[in-house]
Amino acid sequence: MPSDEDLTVPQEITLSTPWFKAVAAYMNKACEEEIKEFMLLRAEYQDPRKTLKEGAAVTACGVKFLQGLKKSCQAETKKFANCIDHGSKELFISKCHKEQSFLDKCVEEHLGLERPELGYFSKLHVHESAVPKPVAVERDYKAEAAKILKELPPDYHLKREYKKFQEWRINPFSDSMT
Amino acid sequence: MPPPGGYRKFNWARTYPKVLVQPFVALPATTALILVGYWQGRQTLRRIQTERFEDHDIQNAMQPFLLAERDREWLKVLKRNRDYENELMKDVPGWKTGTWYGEPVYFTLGDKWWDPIGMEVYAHSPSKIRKDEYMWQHHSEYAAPKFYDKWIPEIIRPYIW
Repeated sequence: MPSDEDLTVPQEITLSTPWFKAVAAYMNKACEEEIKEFMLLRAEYQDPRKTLKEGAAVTACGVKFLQGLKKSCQAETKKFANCIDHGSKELFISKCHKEQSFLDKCVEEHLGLERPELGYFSKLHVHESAVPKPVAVERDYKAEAAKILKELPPDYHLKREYKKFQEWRINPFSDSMT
Repeated sequence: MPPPGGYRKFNWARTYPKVLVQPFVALPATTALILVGYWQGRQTLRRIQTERFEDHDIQNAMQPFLLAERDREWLKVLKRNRDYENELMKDVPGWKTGTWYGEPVYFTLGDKWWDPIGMEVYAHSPSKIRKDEYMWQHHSEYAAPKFYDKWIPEIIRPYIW
């Protein structure tokens, strides 16, 4: 288990959903490298403990972007977020295309980021990582079982604990439920 | 017998309905309305699908940040559970944290990470919290107290909401 230090980040992203939805496209584009690395490793390792550093890097990059955004585009972001909040109960962005275009222009001007087109985040993105792919662990079950079976005394009663491929649903001749 | 003077006059001739709209106007108009309605329906469907797709797309964009935060929080929760378990089962002989008296829960896991099930994660919390999380047993409309909650007796209150 990782230590408490590894699990704490200097600043977490504390945005509510309308605000997060308003800035998500730009935030993702700004932090694309870190995100790709993190998501790739997370999917390959399937272990949250191994990707804590990359996760912290992603959060830090997001925080940095938000600080830069606050300095330059605070008003437009606020208008857009409020529009999303009041637009629909599912917080759809489609009600607020006008405010979105204002924020687009502002971000392009000040931060140099172009908002990706619709569907960009649903596409597959290829990413080559410096970290090698993890090798799948292949266990030789027969060898392990043979080792244990060798250590058993010769008159050991082996239990019929295995399950049949197709079971009768109701079996009046056995103790178990199936 | 028939009344004096006979029955009154009765029109038994063939009567045709009055043509309000000529067929050469009605048929094209109907066809046009059908086609326009069909096109409008497809347009509405396209609009709804685009709206939904846009929402899913922006949620895909949000996902990495949320995942990083969620991993950290999840590990913190599991650590707290492990500490609780260590404390609780300090004096029980033969007990190893995370196993059943030394026997592991999964046979073939090895070093692989596997998330514990809901029962295990919420083992040290009141069952109300687990039910709220997995069965959504809060108030169905909104998750805050209602005006009549204070009049429900203490004994029944945890079981109602």
